[in-house]
Amino acid sequence: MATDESTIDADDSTVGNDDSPFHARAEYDATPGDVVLELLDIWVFTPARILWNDYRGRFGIILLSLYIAMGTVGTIVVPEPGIGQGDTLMQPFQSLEHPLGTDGLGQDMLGLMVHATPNMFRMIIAGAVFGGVLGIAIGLIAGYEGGTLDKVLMTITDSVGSIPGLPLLLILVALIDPSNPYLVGIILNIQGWTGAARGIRSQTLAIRKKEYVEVSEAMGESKSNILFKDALPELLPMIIFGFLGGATGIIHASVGLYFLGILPFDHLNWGVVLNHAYQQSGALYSLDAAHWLLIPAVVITGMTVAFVMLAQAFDQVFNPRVRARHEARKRNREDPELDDDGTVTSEDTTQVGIQ
Amino acid sequence: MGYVRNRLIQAVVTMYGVIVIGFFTIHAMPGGPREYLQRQLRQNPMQYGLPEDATEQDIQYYLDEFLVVPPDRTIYEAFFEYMINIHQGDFGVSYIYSPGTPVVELIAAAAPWTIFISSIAMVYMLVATILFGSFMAYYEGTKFDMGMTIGMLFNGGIPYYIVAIILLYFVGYQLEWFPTGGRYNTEYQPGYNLDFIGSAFYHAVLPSLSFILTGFGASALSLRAHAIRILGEDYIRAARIRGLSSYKISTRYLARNSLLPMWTSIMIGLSGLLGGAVIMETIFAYQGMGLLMFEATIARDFPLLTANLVLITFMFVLGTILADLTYALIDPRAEQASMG
Repeated sequence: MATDESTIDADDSTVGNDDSPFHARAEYDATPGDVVLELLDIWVFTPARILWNDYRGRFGIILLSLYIAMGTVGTIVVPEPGIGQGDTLMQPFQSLEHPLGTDGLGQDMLGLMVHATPNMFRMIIAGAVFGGVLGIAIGLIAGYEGGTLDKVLMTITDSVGSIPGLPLLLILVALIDPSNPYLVGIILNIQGWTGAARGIRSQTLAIRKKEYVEVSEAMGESKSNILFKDALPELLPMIIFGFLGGATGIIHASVGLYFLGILPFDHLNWGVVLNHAYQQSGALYSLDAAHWLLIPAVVITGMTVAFVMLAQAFDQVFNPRVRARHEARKRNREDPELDDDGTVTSEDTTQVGIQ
Repeated sequence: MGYVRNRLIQAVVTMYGVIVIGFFTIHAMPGGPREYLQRQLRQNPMQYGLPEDATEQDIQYYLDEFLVVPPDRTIYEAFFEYMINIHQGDFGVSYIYSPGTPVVELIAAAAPWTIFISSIAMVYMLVATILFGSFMAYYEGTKFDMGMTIGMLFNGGIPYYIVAIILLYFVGYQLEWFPTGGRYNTEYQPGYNLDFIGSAFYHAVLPSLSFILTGFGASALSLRAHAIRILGEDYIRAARIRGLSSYKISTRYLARNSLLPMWTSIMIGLSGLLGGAVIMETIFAYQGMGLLMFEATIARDFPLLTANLVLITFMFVLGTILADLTYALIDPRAEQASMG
């Protein structure tokens, strides 16, 4: 503690003495603009640059922007689909009026695809935010408080997590019969918080022991301040992986349930298109209907792949070791000193099996 | 043994939780078996042996006669009776799906088919996971690894039912290579004869293929990540110095050790065999657990639905317990950490 005392002494006795090594002064004062710029650089520009330099990240960003454009600008440009817009089962890439052809009811395929996108994003955002917030809250509280509360919360988490997913969704959707896309998203991700809560709890347990949290506690910071200012930033990787994983899950589940015809057909969805193509008698027998099945299939796959790729690329943002190894390899020299860390944090909880 | 005890307590809590939540949510579902059957009768009276111009009286008579009406009682009485019954192995009788038949019989008839399809898929997915994962790790950083990684990401990103629909359309309907639905050719007598078994496998090709083609991407990538960590170990270097072939190193030395962290997920996957195939079985009209569950939901066949949910959850909970408890057997290092 000798250094601490000397620092204080130096501070007290040598006010105005610029030679003191403990009294270095900044050359200029940071304006609010500088602070904002720096924060932006740390939290936005640098991660974005790292993502962009990774081939998976670039692919994911481009693909996802395409879908965002589809959901915003696209809905204005492309007219809303309606039955009998054109002849039935027009082939794609034949006319400018219906670039992707029409389905068996004469609806424009491009319109069907484009106008289903905004609701898909609504579902993803609502579901992923719900799962994230509940997971963070329960994980943080359980990990930080410990004791009986921790045990009770974790038992609940594990119990909810071990109810089989699709059967539960079948029952819930039949029970609630939701048509609001935000509500649908939340229902589809009803179990999504369990994984996040478990992961965040174990991370919180580790963070709790760190010095700076102890210091904050000793300084009498409030519990919510400690949790949000000290613990939460450390958990950011896990939260983002949870969000992206939740997004893929919601796309899969929503299209699946719309395909089964369990969710009400109030809104356009790619799954509804698939359902019509599958149900309409004769469509499966005719080769003319191929695009009716293939176009929604490609659109659904593209969106999930975009999220999966982004999740993989985010690994580089949060894992400097992985990044350094990739950089080293890019320059064609192996650096044996860097140890091989797990590259796929997000995949650690994957299970082999059937969803 | 504190760990085992806690684990068992938690499993029991989960099971009762699911039964309670399942019972009440299922009974709170809008509409009921009676409404469903009434609607069906109005739409299509011929199917139920009524004249085409069936009057409302006919329909009411049919309903009273054939529907197994649960006795009029409050939901709490029904719940306590249900709880007593299931502890004696009695899950009730089906209302609509097959009126009067014990639901356990219906499930026992459907479950083997789902297990059949899923276990075929599981085996091939595991083989593909191990092969692709370990080879990708072994050739880490090469063009092969990069291309395969993208391929695996696509594989993990495509929903299985998309592949199922496309397979059904092209291979089933257009090329007519494989049957488009059903469990076996009904011309053959079910039993231990070659025709029937061959036909069952023939019908299982497309359903299991749709799982296999989409099921190994994510796990292969995770295996690759574990394997890369192991590649730095000394015993791999020693094996290389000894001049063993890359094939031998990647399958014997690498795959086995990198499989350790996957044990839990394999066990959970096995126990999840019963539950997850709802969409696949609907697409291929494959009469297994999933389709049974789906039809029970549509028809509001409450006892069948509840029993399905309870049994699937039971298998799942059992599987996770076994996974946790057996992990120490295959990796003795875990024993000190978790149980000591």
